[in-house]
Amino acid sequence: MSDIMPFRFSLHSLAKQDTIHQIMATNTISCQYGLSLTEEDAEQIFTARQIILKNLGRVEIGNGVITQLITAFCRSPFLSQENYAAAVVDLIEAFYYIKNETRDEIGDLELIELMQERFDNCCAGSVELLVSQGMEDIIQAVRQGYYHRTLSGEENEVSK
Amino acid sequence: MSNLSFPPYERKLPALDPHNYLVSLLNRAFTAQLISEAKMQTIQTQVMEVLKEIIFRYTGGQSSSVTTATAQSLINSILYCIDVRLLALDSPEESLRELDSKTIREIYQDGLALVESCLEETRKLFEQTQVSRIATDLIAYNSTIDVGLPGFLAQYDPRFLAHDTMADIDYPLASHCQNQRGIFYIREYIRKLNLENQFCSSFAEPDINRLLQNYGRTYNIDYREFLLNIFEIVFTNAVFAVMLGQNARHLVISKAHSDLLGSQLYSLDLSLIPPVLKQTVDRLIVQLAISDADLIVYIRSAEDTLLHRLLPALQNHSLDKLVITDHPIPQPSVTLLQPEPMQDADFRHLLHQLSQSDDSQAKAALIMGQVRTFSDFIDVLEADCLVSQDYQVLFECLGDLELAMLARLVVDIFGEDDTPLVQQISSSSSGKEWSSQLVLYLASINRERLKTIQQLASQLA
Repeated sequence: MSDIMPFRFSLHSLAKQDTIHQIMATNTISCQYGLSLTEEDAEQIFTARQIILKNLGRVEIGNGVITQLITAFCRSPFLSQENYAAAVVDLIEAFYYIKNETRDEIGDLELIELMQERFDNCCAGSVELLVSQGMEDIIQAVRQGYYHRTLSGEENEVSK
Repeated sequence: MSNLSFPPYERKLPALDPHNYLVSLLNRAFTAQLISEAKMQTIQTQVMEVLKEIIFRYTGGQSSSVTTATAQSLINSILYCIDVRLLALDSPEESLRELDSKTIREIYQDGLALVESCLEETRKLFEQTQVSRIATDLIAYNSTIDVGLPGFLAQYDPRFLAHDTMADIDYPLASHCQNQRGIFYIREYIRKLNLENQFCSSFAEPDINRLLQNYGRTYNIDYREFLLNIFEIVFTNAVFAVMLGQNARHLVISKAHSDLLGSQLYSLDLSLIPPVLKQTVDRLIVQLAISDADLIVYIRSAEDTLLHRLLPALQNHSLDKLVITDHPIPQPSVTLLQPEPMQDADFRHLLHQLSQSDDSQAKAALIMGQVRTFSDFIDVLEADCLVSQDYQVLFECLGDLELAMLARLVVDIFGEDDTPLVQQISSSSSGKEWSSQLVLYLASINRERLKTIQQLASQLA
């Protein structure tokens, strides 16, 4: 019997097959926009997300964000089949990065909506621009403590 | 596994970590082949399922991810609740049976209920603390009761931070709370604090505060800013008071009594000190009419601590640092702020006004209205511009301190005997009109006031 303690809690353990299955299921929606992912793409996205989470110091308890991101962004005119899988990985990384920068104060769906709106408009489909400038006002609003005051109401100055 | 019957767990499951009970229990049980790998994986999966639920609640369902630090804190909170439940059982065997018969979610819920119950109990104990607290200037004591503990109890959340013990608790207890974490640590801290307050309630608060002041003088510190334990200081002096044959409630020990105690204790064989101390504490408990079993246990623990301080003090001849002797409270000295003296022209103008008036009341009003310094006042008295009746009216306008200052000027050194002030001033031979008038005036006022003036005069530098 090994002396090494066998019982521990892995915060990064996820059901791989379940995640890949859910990623593949998004093709039913994305194919309407001429986009689809192969099983190999899904595996790469799964692996990439594990690395991104670890690098950014986060723990994911479900697979919902990947499917939510894909479902939201597959409608974008700036995504093409050639860059689709890579763009999904970039967007996952951008999502968790902004999640950290906004100190978890913005819910997943709300953040994806904000990202999508800016990605399709002021950032012209550039994830790099989205991360470096596109969300800066939101990040500053959260840091200065007035995000919820200004963004939660109908008079949403920051998100206009 | 439900029919577990393994040898005494002390042999098979040694040295389980109470601060990481579930993990150490499972690892030891796995090593001792008391639990299968499959069961281990099942438990691990169930813990992660509970974590998912807690993260969902933590984020209000708005986010499926959290930072690693948050996740780690939440998992620590879950494990704390599980440990609370398992440690409430009689033995590791019982814990393993619990893990076999219930899911981790059920055990977590049971543990969470225990934690919430403990929180309620702790809040009630703290209400007692607020009632029994000692009126003292000790900063750490007050800040712990006013800020640290209420702040902790207000923000403690068993759902997400059950393991949390982050509180601004600076005040050190005489007996530390060992092997406790989270709310159980706080409950134990408050329980012991209440016992200490209960003990100190046998003594008059002014006596306790005077003892603390004497403690500060003994060690040349501002006791208010130090992390001192009031109970320990009070208990120690109460024990020595009883040794001296004083009443236990009489915390004041004079230097002479301290020397006497030293001469007796230094002459004793060290082997006799423990029984002597025990008998003294027995008498202390009787004299203070202490019957609370928990408090008696606490006092016995303090007796043990005191013994470990007393023996080296006797060996090193440093008993005078252990017995806090009374230092006379210094009388406050009087310091007067000197305003600017009058300008020469103004002074001459005042003298002219005084010489033109025959009304004693008007003269007194002029002097009291324009003279701002003691030296100017004396100059006016010695300027031959007042007649006999003017002095009496003017002295009538003066307060006790001003009269004491005048008396001090006539009599350089006040005797420490009880010679009346009037007699002392009369016997001095200043030969000045105003000093004779002062004697007459002081002889006319009531005795109590005269006594006050004499006390003030003796304190003036």
